[in-house]
Amino acid sequence: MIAFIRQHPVALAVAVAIHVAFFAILVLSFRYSRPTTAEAPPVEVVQAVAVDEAKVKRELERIKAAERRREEKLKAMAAARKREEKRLAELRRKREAERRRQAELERKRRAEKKRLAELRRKQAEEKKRLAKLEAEKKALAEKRRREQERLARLERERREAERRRREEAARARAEAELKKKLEAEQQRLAALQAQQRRSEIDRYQQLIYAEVYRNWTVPPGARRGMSAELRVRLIPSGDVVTVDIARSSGDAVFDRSAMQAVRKASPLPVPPVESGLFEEFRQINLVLRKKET
Amino acid sequence: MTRHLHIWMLAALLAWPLSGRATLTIEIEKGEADAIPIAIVPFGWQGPRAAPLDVAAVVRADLARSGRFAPVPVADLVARPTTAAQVRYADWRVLKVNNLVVGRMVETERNRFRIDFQLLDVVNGQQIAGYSIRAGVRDLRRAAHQISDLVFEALTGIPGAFDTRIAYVTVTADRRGRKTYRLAISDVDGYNEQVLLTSPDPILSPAWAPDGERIAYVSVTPRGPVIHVQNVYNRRARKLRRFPGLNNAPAFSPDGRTLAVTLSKDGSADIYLYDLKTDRVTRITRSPAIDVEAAWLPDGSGLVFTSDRGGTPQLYRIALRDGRPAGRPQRLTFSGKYNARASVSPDGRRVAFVHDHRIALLDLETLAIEVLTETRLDESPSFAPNGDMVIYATRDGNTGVLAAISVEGRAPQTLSVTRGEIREPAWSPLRRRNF
Repeated sequence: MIAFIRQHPVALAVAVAIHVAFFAILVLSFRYSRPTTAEAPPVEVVQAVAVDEAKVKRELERIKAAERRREEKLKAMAAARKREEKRLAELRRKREAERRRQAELERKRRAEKKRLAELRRKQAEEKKRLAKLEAEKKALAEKRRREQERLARLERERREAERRRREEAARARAEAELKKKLEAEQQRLAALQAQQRRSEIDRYQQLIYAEVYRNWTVPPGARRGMSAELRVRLIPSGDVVTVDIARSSGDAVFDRSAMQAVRKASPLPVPPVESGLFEEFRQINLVLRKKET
Repeated sequence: MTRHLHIWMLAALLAWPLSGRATLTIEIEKGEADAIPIAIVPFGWQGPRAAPLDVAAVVRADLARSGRFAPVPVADLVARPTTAAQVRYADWRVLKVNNLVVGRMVETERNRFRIDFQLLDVVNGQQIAGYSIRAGVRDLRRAAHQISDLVFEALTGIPGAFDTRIAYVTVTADRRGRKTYRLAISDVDGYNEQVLLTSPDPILSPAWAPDGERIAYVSVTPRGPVIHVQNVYNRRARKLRRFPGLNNAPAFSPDGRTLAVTLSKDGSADIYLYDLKTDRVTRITRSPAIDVEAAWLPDGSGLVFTSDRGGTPQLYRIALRDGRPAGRPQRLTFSGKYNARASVSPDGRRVAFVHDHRIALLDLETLAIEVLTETRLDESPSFAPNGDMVIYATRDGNTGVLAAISVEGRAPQTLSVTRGEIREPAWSPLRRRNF
């Protein structure tokens, strides 16, 4: 800015002058624009001149008469003036009334105008309000529409999510199901293996049972319920390595018959070493009991 | 068998996961006793002549007859050892025998013999027993029966009853139909028969005294039945006091001093006790029905007898105290139309009797009846003194035979066959060993 001023000093001066001029005009116009008051009405001036006696009497008469006439005239004039004044006053009064009426009218007009303006303003406002209302309504409708749309979208989304969730759940369920099935299958397999193992052991136990049973001659003199427990060591061929009395029946004949049964049943049927089950049979206990009944 | 196994197995399986590596235990429960496979090797012989007796054959036959043993036929023997030292156990294991008897006999002086034998456990490879028995030539069979007894007891836990005798009655008729009755005794295998009495009069109801020396029997004379007691060694007989009517079915009391007899002197047949010292009788039963055939409980605490007081012949028991009845008779049998001829087992727990013409056992505790025989004309059961067998009379076609059956009902063995009839066997008490 300062750089600009420095370059154009004349422009600056002109600008300042123009500003000053405008300012002056603004002040003067403000002064002359004051309203002027109304001028007073013009007043009538009367001039009197004296004449001889007879003449003046006549003349007086005549003056008297003239006087009277003049007085009358004055009177008439006064009356006229009075009337005039009265008329003027009336006029003034009327004019004043008129002016007041006019002022009132003006006031009324202005009030009307103001009212109208107000009305218009109100109408405008109303219109505006209505417009605004309409706009609001529209906005509301729009909003509602949008809301509905949003809701619809949300609903759609929700449905979608729900569907996805369901799908996901179904998938998860299916997976869990599969996993469960797999686990169950594994468990079943493990159980099967354990069961197979047990049933193998069971089978060999039964085989040993049968073999010893077959080879056992129960001493007829043994008491019912008499029993002996033997500790038997086996080698993988099933051959009985040692037989010891773990618990004697208390009867030598019975104990001997039990030992004989085991020895005689040798080799006992045992699972092959490869099965991993032989270890269960490396050392076994056999209880031989004479039946109670 | 398997049921028990299964139960046990189940328990074992249940315990399995918990027990970890606990030792497997297998329980074997068996009731019936199988015949024991045994080999009796012919005994060695040292003497100037042929051996007077095949001792091993007698033992083999005894053991086979008992139903408790299954001796290997001689032809199947894999070797002929006569001493334990000569035995190769493996050879005998092949034969699947549990036991082996080896022995040898030497004539130590003329008609005097010594028998040495060993009973071996083939399976466990060890000797169970070894004995040396001396015998004269007439006692060789008895010595053999004694060996059987020793083997039997060592392997079954039950005393053997091979060295015992039976008394019985035979009846023969000549061409004209005249009958001859004989009272005889023999070894249980039918050998060594000795006739104690021959009579045209019927002989009934021989009964052994507990000392094994006397036999009571009934001789039905034209004047009526008379009870005799005869010594089996010196053959001297004593005629007991005769009462009007029946004088039947004598039975020695366990102490041998009293006979339970059937008399009808007071009207109907009733059981009485006959005091052998005083010849006085005490009435035991008092019923208008027929009460006969008393048998003693082994402790002398009572009698088992037959009575038709219930309409049909049934067994009853009556308690005794101080030689007098204690309480009322108690009925023991409730099934069958004919239950009679009681013989009480030596342990007093069972009664062998005729049950609708078959031999049956009655459990005195449970009163359960177990029929042993399948033939239809079985009579006169008599318990072996070891309680393991019952001897009885039956018929094989027209021939009367004695048969024995183990108390477990194993196939009955015919013991003795005669022309004509053989009746009323009575098994002697156990004899004292004479070595």
